[in-house]
Amino acid sequence: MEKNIVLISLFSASIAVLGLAPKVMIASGVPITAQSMGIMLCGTVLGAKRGALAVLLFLALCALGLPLLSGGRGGLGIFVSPSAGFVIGFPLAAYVAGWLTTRLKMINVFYSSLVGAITGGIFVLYIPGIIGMSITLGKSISEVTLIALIYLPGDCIKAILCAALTQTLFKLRPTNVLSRV
Amino acid sequence: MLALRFPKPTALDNVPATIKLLILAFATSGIFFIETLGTMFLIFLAIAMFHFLLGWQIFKFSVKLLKPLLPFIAIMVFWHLYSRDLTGGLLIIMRLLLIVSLANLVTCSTKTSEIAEIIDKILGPMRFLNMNTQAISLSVIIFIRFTPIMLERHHILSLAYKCRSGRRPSWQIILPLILSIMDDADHVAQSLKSRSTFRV
Amino acid sequence: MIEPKLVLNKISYKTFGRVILENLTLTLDEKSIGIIGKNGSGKSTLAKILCGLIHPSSGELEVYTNGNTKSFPRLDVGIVFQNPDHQIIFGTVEDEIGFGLKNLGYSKSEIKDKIAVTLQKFNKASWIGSSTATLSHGQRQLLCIMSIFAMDPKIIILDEIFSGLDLPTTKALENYLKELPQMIIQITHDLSILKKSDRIIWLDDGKVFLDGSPKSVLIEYSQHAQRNMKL
Repeated sequence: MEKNIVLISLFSASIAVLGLAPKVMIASGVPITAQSMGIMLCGTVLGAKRGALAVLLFLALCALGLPLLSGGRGGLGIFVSPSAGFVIGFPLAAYVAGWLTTRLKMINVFYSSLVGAITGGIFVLYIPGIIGMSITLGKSISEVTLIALIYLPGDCIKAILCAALTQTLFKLRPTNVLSRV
Repeated sequence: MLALRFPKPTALDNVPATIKLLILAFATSGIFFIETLGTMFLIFLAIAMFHFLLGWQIFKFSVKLLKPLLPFIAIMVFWHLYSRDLTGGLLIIMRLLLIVSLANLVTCSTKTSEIAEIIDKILGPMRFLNMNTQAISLSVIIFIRFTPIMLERHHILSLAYKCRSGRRPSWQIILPLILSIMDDADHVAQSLKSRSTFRV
Repeated sequence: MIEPKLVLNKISYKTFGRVILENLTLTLDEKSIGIIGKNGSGKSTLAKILCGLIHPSSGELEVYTNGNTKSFPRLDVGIVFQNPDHQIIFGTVEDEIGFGLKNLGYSKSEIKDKIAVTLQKFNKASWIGSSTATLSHGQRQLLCIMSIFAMDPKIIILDEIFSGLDLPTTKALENYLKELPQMIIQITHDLSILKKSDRIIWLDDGKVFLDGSPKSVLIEYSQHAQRNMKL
């Protein structure tokens, strides 16, 4: 029980840390932050329920005004900005990522968490994300999807990294990868 | 790691949080119904003046908080220049700035404890879901205590990487960071357990 | 005078196919006991079993607080770990000391009193209201000791608490520990601290290698280390 509380809190904090860490430039020239990878990681490592709780904890603290979202954003503004859809979709993304990682127990950790990370962190996350952008930017869904495509290459890399990390963590600290316990 | 607050106390601080949130909710939804550029511009000006009246420092601070919206504004500018729909573009940009700055106004003028109380009230009816409140408050405490420690660790790992590779690390230090988190989790959990004698 | 006693009966601990502790049968009732052994010999695992944090794979642990009154390890055996940063969770001294007391079921006013008494006992009454972030490493280690002490355990286990502390801080902490009325079990690599113990147990590969007075065991241990120097 204590381990659950602590792992959830620490992984939640890691979402903040990965967001506050300096941005990385990737090929397409768009700076990406590791924050959404933190979301995927919460799911693939902690499992569906606990991963979602970790993300909810993170969001609750952001709502309180702590500037934990990448770029030092925080407070209620994050729920009305163009990325609000993504922010609201974060817990769901973690849940789905974790659910798949656990459900696909029979296959290798890397592949199950890859499927989880891509499904949760990209497919499931982009739906509310695109809807949110459409509302706030006043564009149609198809138009906004074009904009969202900018994030796609970065998110794919993050999903692969997330899967690799989950696999390594499972090898080194199997009892702490709660999604596969 | 401090919450976002205005650099100086303002008159808004004394308005009860619930009222501020209700006004915010109405204003935000209302703004979406404004379709004429003229009306939007007037409201935009009014809110900008309001910020200005709160003080020059507050105004500067609020503008700084809008910086993360720049990429989106840039996209909108290019988009609408390309589609020759300048009025539409301006409408959207002003709406964006208005909504986010109003939300920020509430965030920065409300005490963390007040917002925490409101979150508590919202979660209240969910208590039937059997949520352990002590677990939640412990989680928040551990989060707040360990985030600076983790940031520090991230910083040191970056330095250690840099001094042996000459470049700043990106993804390479994430594994050692998360590993240390997991090891810390074991220790902290044991320390918690050793003092929570008869808790679950 | 409360005379606590720990009785280990064929305690073993296995994990992931490795045997960490093997068939330990001991009766611990001396006031000050030291446990030594090279890294990986099972000392920390033994410590965690003794305070009830983990259960042995086989065998039994019995805790007696007074004569034959049986008790629970989690209630009467406290443990202080090596790194205060892993143990201090709260931002203020009061919250930190009060945490264990709250879980023991004390009322708010009882907790306040106990905190005051504990701080007084360690001559740190000035720490009331202090934030834990402003304390030095040695002070934080002292806070960890105080937090466990406040819970009135009959036995306190100290798992390498002097690691990484400078000499003055070590000496200062030693002085505090000398005054404690509880039974103290110390795990440490610092042999000089154990010179005044009543009994030393040398653990090797999960089994008791040597068990006796400091004089006999410590000399044998350092000679052994000299003979077997390898990395």
